[in-house]
Amino acid sequence: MKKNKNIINFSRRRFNIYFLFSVSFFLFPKKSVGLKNDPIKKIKYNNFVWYLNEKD
Amino acid sequence: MIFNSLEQVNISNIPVVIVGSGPAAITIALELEKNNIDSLIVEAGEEKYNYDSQQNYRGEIVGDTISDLTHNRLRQFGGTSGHWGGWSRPLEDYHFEKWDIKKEDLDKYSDNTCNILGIKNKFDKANLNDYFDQIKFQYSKVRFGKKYKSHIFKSDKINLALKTQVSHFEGNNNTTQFAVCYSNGKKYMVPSKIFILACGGIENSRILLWTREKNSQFIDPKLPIGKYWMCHPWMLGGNGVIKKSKFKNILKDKFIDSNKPIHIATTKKLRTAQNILGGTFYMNAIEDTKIHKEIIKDLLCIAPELGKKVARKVFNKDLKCGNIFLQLEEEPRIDNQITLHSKLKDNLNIPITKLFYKQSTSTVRNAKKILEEFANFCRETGSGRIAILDEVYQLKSYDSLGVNHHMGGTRIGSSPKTSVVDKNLKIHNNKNLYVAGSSNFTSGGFANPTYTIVQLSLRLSAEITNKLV
Repeated sequence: MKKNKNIINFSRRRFNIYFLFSVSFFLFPKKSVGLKNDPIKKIKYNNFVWYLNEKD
Repeated sequence: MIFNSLEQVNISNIPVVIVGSGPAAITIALELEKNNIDSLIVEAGEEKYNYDSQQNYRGEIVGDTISDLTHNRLRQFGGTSGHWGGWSRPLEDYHFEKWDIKKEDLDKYSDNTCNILGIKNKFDKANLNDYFDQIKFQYSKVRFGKKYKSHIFKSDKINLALKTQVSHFEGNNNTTQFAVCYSNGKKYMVPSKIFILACGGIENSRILLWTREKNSQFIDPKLPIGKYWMCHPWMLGGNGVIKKSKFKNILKDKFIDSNKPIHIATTKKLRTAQNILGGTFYMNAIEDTKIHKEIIKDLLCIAPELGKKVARKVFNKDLKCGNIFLQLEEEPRIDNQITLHSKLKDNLNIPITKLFYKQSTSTVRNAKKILEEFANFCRETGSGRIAILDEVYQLKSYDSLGVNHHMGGTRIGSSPKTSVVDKNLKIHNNKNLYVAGSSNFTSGGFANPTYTIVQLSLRLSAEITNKLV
């Protein structure tokens, strides 16, 4: 009986984690998906001004 | 029927005289024919290009450099469609904000317009974000002279007189009575019920100005003829590298996939948010060209890691590398105007065109704002990296790559103080003189003008038919 309880509890916890994960995914604002908020870095080179990300 | 001079035409009883034989003129004649109405098309040039005839199109440009007026239009049967690029697309609804015509007024002629231009009525637009759309142009291969020669030759309703130049119009009591023509060295007074001036974004104004100079009582002296002249500034704005697949990811099934360059256009929201006029731009992304290598070389120097990533994909068709060319909307300014030259004259002793044109400082500002927003979009979405040409970035100036779209000069409007024709394209305070073509545009939008010229011509044909039938 004790063993069985443990299994049930573990399964519920895992279910909760998956549930919270999926809810958070749906609540995540769609507009920011794929957008990077890297700061802009402008570099002038050969008569052109490049708009780069800081990490570039 | 096609005639080599006016001498062979019975001019006594033709209800509509159309001056010019380009897309506007031919469209109108074809529509009138469907409604059993006779017309006379008067073309100053010959069936094909003639060097001496073409010289009558020379003009002086005062101000900033634009393409030579002698060569960027054609004085021949079919008009400038004899060498146009064929890019076709309707104006956006917000481009009509200052017109007395709404987009819906012209949209009903879309099917017929596409039929005349030999293109599909499919002008897709896919929204990238608040500020940009991917758009599709249709490419017409129609040369009006070539396509409609046989039809006009066989027609007993359309009379085309070649080598016949209209000098001016004559009339009284606000009624036009004659088109004064010269053909084979002879002068003809051609009578008609309706006269339509359809000979291009320069000549329409020039003939009206000469008509007014000959008889100031006949054409309202206050009309701003020749003023608010515009073009589409066409320039190199920058260069860059973009990933086609990223655009596909953003647009999903709405992505416009073709072997043509990716065309991007500004949205109404960008115009409003940044208080600018809009434009369209494209990248000449042909793989493995010199420019392709130059851009990757630059990237390797300024951002080595990114440069290496791009260089590894150099032969990947997904990667587009190239110069960015912009075609922008230009603000209509009263000072940009067509006038008559005080000294130089053409073969009929009519003053040639003197065009005053100054680039607007707002054009380069618009170009920078558009490219800056697009550069940020590419950066933030990982779709690519964009560089702006330093002259544009510094708001100094831009080098025009050519000015081939002539618009304005006889703009549409309700007030004779600020416009030349009314919403039916009839000259203010005149009963039967109409104007067709891009000279009527109140604003130019960013799409090439021929599509809208044909739409307006179809609408004018309906108006004339209602009057005559």
